[in-house]
Amino acid sequence: MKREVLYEIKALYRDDFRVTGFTFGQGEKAMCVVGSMRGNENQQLFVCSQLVRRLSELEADGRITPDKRVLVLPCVNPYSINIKKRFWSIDNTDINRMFPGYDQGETTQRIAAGVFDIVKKYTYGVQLASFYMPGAFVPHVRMMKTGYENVELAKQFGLPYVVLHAPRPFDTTTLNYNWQIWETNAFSVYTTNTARVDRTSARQAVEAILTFMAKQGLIRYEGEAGCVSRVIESERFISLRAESAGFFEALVKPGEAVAAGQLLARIWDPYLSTLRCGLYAPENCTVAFVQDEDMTYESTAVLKLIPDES
Amino acid sequence: MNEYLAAEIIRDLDGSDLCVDIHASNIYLTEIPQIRINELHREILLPYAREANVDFIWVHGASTVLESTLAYSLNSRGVPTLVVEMGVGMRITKAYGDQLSDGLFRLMHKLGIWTGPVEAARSPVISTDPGEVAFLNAPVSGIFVKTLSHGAAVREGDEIGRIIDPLQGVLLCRVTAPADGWLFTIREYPVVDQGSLLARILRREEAHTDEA
Repeated sequence: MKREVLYEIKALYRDDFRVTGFTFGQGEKAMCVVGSMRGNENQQLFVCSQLVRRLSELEADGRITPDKRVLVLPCVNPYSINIKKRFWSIDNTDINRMFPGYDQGETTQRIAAGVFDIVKKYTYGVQLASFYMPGAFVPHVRMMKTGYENVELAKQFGLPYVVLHAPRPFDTTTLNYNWQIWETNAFSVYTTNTARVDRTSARQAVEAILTFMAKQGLIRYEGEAGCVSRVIESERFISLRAESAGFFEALVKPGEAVAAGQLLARIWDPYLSTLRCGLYAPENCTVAFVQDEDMTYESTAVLKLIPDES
Repeated sequence: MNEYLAAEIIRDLDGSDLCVDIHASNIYLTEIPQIRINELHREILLPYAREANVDFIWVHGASTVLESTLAYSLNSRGVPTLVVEMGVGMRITKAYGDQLSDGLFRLMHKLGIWTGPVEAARSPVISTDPGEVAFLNAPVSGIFVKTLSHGAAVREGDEIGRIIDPLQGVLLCRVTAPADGWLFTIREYPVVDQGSLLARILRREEAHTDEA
């Protein structure tokens, strides 16, 4: 394993900004894994730490395929992790909305340019992503529909779902989108959590990534078989919106199968503790996403469901 | 909820004869009163923009991220929409507010909504070439102390501000104008990282006040 600083900005009144990478094997740029890009992505950072440990063990055992290089970037935004703030400390911009970056531009544009220069040209790219809505997801692989996406490859992670997403205008500046445009087979892997570490789903993500790498011939590894992934377009998700603001009480977890008419969540009046409304499954579904905030606004999508295949 | 709010705002504004989307910049930068127009909508919007009593009209290139904005969405639906930037975020600049208010009455007069008296409009500088605008980004991290105010005319080499190290009392760099022109954006928020936007200059020798 080689540990090195791959991108750096000199700072004045705190430690320098450094993006540290861990390289395994050598030769062809085969696989790159990018961890946390925002300051609350602790789960993503944790998954990378487990991956670094496992790859170190595999490398010591001689199980990295000769002439294949694997790079792990556990954290692309250590400043924000250090102050527990999701976006860039000074101007609140999102590095994952700055790709492919601009090295003469503003700070997060420069960081994006520096990172993209490191990660492009890898054959496979995995970003451990987080959703813009605060909540828990069923583990899945997500790809933007750019015309370059490879669904059969995505299934090889063995996660329950492969989700295809038509990019909206602001998605065109994400790492996943630009990685694909620059011809890396790019995947966003979502585990259950973001801000809090969930070791069970972290282990599932590590297993999925190692299994994928083994199937591409990058490492010798026999892991768990994983799932036969179901492919679904994100537009098919059913969003259940809160009919009223109030305290949100979820009665289900991501990954649970629910029946039509089943009560999934309740919203309570914050003063009177009376029931304001219940949210019910419109049909037989699997729970894909559950908001994890205690309070909800009216009209907020608090649950997302994947309808059963008919 | 954000998407729901955005949809309701669009529904409410749809069908309007004109929309003016007023911004006061962010908390980091001060802007002179200006209208920014996506080049895709230039032909429709320029005649309105000239009436709005701003100092500067910036016709800029199209960008995919702008497609998610209120102005782009409304313009795409046939509602002419001007984006105004002026002053600095979270602050009231009364003179700019008064200036734009005069412009709004001129626009209403143009639309036949207002028949009362209107003030004569300023003749704005219009920029249509991306190369006309110079961006100055911080080469180092530090504390930025400006020397000039927004709206100043500059010559190449003029000092616009300084980046200093307050811990040691050291000058880290002088920020100077790369060309003759007009300082239409200047940084207000003093803390800068390497790359932070400090200023924008319109290269004045290429700027013009009317379309050819």
